[in-house]
Amino acid sequence: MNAAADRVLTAEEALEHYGPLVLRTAFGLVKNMQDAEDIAQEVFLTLLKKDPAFDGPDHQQAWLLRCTINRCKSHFRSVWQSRTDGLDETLSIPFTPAESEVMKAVGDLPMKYRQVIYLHYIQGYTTAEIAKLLELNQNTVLSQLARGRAMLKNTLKGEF
Amino acid sequence: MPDHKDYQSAMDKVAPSDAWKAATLEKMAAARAQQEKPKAAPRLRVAKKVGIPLAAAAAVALLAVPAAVQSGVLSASGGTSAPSTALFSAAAYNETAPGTARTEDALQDEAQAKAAPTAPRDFDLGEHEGLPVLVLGDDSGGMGGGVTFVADSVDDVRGDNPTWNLSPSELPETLPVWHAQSGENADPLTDLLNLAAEAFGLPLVQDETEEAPTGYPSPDLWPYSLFGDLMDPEHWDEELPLHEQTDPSKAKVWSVSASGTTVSGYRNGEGESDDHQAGDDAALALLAGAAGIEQPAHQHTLATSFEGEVRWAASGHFYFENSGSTVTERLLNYSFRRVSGAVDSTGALRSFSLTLPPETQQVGDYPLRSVEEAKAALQVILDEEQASGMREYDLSVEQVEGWQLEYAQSSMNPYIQPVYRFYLKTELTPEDAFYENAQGNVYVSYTVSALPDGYCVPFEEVFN
Repeated sequence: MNAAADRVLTAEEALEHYGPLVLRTAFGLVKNMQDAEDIAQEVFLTLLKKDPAFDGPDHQQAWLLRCTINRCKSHFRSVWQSRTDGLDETLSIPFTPAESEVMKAVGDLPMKYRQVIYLHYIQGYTTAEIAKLLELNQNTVLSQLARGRAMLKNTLKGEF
Repeated sequence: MPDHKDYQSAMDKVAPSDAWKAATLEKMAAARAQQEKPKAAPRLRVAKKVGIPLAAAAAVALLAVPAAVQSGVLSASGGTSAPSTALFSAAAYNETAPGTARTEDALQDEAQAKAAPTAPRDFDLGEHEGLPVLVLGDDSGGMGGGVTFVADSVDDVRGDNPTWNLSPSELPETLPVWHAQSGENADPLTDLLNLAAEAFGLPLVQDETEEAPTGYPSPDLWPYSLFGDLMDPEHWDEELPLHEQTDPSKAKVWSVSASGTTVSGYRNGEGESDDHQAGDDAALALLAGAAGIEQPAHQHTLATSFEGEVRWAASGHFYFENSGSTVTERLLNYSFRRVSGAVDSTGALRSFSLTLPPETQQVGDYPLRSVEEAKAALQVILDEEQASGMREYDLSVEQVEGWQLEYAQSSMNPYIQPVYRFYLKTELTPEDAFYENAQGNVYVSYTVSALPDGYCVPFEEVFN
């Protein structure tokens, strides 16, 4: 899980510090590096243009995640149908077959499950933190996490 | 078998390239150079936990639906079945000062105290006295939701619900409530999967239902969804178990799932067309009989993307049964007889969704509270949001542009029951709500129980 900085960062500093977090989040949700890069770039440009008033570094990190997720949802509604292949074409280290399989399975989940799976397993957020981040009831997050895991276990024919 | 560790190791390989960082910095420098003049109006302060209510807090799911289908139009059944003894009674609940517990902790807050409900119900339930109290909860952050829309007019987003802004005299006095199709009442979900199999003429292989996962918030309602696959008979021998099939991966044609009162399915295809009308037409042609749709009408609502593009809302387009001699019949047909679909680039159906009337036992016909009573409940929610810092712009029921009755359910709620959905016009600009290049007004919608206070226990009061 990416740690928040020790203070609220300028947009340029945020790019350096939170760039991996934002890009990874976008990639985990839209499943395509080119789109993920576009979305991540928009997020940092939005941060610069809007210059929101943050209460602290945790708040800034949460805002970046929320902004990324919202943009991914918007993107997903428009083009999800056309770009599901070539998950790792642009990665310097290609995925292993097992990684590709699990990435495909996660990528096939409905967005609402995919985002909680991502936030829990990759960002290490608790369900309470995810609930706060996504403005959901914690029980809803628990439910979505359970259902997402059940779907993955079914798809992968194993544990998740 | 791959598991979450492979997921984590894969994601560890995702990192920004130097070229991307350089390109982003370049664009940021250009944007900063153009950003000299101060803003004319103070910008919204982003709330610590939230910002502006977003679609992420998706409101109560519209009733989807399922089951062993009888064709024909749904009629409003009148009879009241026996109340479940497992449910609360209205009288008992009222003795515990309904409506106050929810805000008790925050009453020191002046704003909240002002908005807190002041008294138990003051209406006469008459012949309905004694019906079980329903537990109301949803998948959003409590009743309410605060889903945002950007649109020129609320008419662009509200759909064709037959109860839109009805006058009090036109409102039904009661509406039926059913047990949710889940938990011990989940049998209709299997019927829904079988219905899909029958419609496509393909054998169904239903997934095993697992135990409720640890931590599942409402284990009594598990299973909430059932899953399965429709198989190609050429690659699937119904007489053989899975492990003896020659190549089961080739046999799967459709992945289907049943949840609530809806069965949906998708298959791999040649991309997906953005011709939503063609998708809905294809689904209707195949499934109208199963849905009992005899007089189809087509609804599509509009959605504005964060980039400002206006398009059909993903879940707002479908065919529904457009008949009924009473408001209740029209509402039930609108809510529970729906079909939508999507086609691939070759024009073949790629996904579908079919909603049918509940097949579970009807709990009873419940009285509805008036629109004004529901508005008062909404105002409490709005004030609580404001007081808790969830929302940092003013919103009140004075901004309600319209309302409609909908049926709602969620994995947390043991009932399929009516709610009021209110649409409010905010004073936000699209940019305030993180929409760029978008034009129009910013609306939010909230849902509030359509049942009187004494008949509806806020979810958090029961389970927390």
